[in-house]
Amino acid sequence: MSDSTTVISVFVVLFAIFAFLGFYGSRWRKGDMNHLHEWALAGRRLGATLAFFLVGADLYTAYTFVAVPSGVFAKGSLYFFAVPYVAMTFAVALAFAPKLWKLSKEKGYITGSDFVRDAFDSRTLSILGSFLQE
Amino acid sequence: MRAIHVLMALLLIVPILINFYTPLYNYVNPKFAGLPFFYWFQIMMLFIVVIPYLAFTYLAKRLDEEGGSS
Repeated sequence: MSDSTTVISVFVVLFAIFAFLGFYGSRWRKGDMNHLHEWALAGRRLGATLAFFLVGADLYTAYTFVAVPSGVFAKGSLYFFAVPYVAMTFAVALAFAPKLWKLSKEKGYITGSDFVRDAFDSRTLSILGSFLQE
Repeated sequence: MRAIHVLMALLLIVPILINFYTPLYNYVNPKFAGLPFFYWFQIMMLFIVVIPYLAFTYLAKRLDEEGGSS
């Protein structure tokens, strides 16, 4: 078996598995998609285990797999900043995220912009904030 | 400000400062499995910071259950 056959078969098998999981998952614990919080926040029903895997998967983006390795290859250890960056951002998240989560649950915020509009009573700031959130 | 709040802040700030202070780990030796100190120290820190973060979470949860404003 040549190299390209191996690569293509691995890709096809994994693609089939994840496509199946995607369609299968859409039936699992189905919510009412007419509500925005069902679609955007999984109906606020994600437990600790699912939230753990969701946050973990958030780290493995195209940036992690393509941008950082190629940056290290091109410029060297400068791009290793991505590793301590992860260790530090989790400290910031630990300090602020639980309070935001609790407040969002009480007042029914769906995005960060909802929180900004309510907390600072400013529509302009809310729109500017939504641009900053990626 | 209670002493426990200072302790909780230190549990988050000290790991950040250690990660920020590059001169602390900007060395080649000692190597570990051929990897320079600079690299393996930062990877090791990923696992070590879990300890203070877990302690912070535990304290925050206990303060929350006490009903105190943390």
